[in-house]
Amino acid sequence: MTPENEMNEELRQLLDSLEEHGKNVRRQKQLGDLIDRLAEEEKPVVIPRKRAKLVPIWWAMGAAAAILLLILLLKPNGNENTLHNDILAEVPETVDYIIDSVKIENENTIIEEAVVHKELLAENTTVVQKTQIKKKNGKAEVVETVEEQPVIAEIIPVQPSDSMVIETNTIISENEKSSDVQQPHRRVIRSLNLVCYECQKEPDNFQYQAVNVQPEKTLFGQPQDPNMKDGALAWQVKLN
Amino acid sequence: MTTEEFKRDILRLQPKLQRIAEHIVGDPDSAADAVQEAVITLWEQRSSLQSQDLEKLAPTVVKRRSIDMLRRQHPTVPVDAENLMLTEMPSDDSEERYQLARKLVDKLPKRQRDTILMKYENGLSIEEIGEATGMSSTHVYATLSRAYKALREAIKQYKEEIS
Repeated sequence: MTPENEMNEELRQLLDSLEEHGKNVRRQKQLGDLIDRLAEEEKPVVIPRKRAKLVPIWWAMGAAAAILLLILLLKPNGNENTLHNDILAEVPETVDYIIDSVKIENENTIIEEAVVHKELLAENTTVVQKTQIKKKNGKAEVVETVEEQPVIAEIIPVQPSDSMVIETNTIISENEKSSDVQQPHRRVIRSLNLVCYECQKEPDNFQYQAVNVQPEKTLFGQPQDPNMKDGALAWQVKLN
Repeated sequence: MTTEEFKRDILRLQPKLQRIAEHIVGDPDSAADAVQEAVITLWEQRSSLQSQDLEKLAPTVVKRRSIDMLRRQHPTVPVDAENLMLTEMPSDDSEERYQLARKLVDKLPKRQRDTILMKYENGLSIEEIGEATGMSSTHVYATLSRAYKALREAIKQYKEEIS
């Protein structure tokens, strides 16, 4: 290599280093712009995400709390049904017919329930027991009234469509007689005003006799009551 | 790592990263693209990075992006990625050569110095230099020719000083 060529080569390297440095400066500027652009693109993305996370949650929580509060305020007294059921559970042991009626005057203040217990005790007298349960501000008040309604004409009892007949199973203790067991049935028959119209005799002249409806022993030899049928005493009315 | 810290460290590492990418890819422009892809990857992970981590991680990411680019450019040529990843960084005296070149250029008259720097460092064309300086293209060529001649003399004088 001649000295002139050698000098040209060194000059070329010098100029290349200048050019390379200039390119690196421009690349650094491009990288700086790229980082700035990445940072700018990231900014508008981050802020809405934060809002999108927070705002709907608070709105949903507030709406849910408001709805819950509204339901609690407008909801009728929840004890009403429980009390009503308790009364129904106690009544069947003492009465023959139950007539229920529920009157709601005001959902928020007074709930009046009227339960009419009609018990037919004698042929000419009907005792009506009315039980009213007034509920005011969550406190239940029971008001019972008993009325006697003498019956002049023949009573044809009509079972209300919404009523129910309660039959109780009677367990005979050792001290009781069979007549004691039959007493409720007799009373019922009296209340039905069962009278012998041919002889015009009083119901006391009737006798009740148990009827054998099944053998005294089962097929397997176990003793059983021959007068019991379907869990009730089978009997018949006989004129004295 | 904040945006400012990331930008500062990346710009400081840029010449080194460019050299690594060029060594693998061979083409300066493709190497610059590989460096940009690596910077985007590092940007997405910057929240979990420290400065010292970036200094270690950036060359590795640049190597991987350069190998990916090499595979895209030559899909039918097998790439020995393992050896390329283990490649030692080439020796770098570019900064020293630049400082020497700049020292010699700065001794030139102002018009010749500006013309040389605009052409080589800023990458302007003859027409752009003429527009920037108000000279005609012929005048720009003549100025560059005089600058080359002065630089040769400067190099010759510098070598004599060293020896």
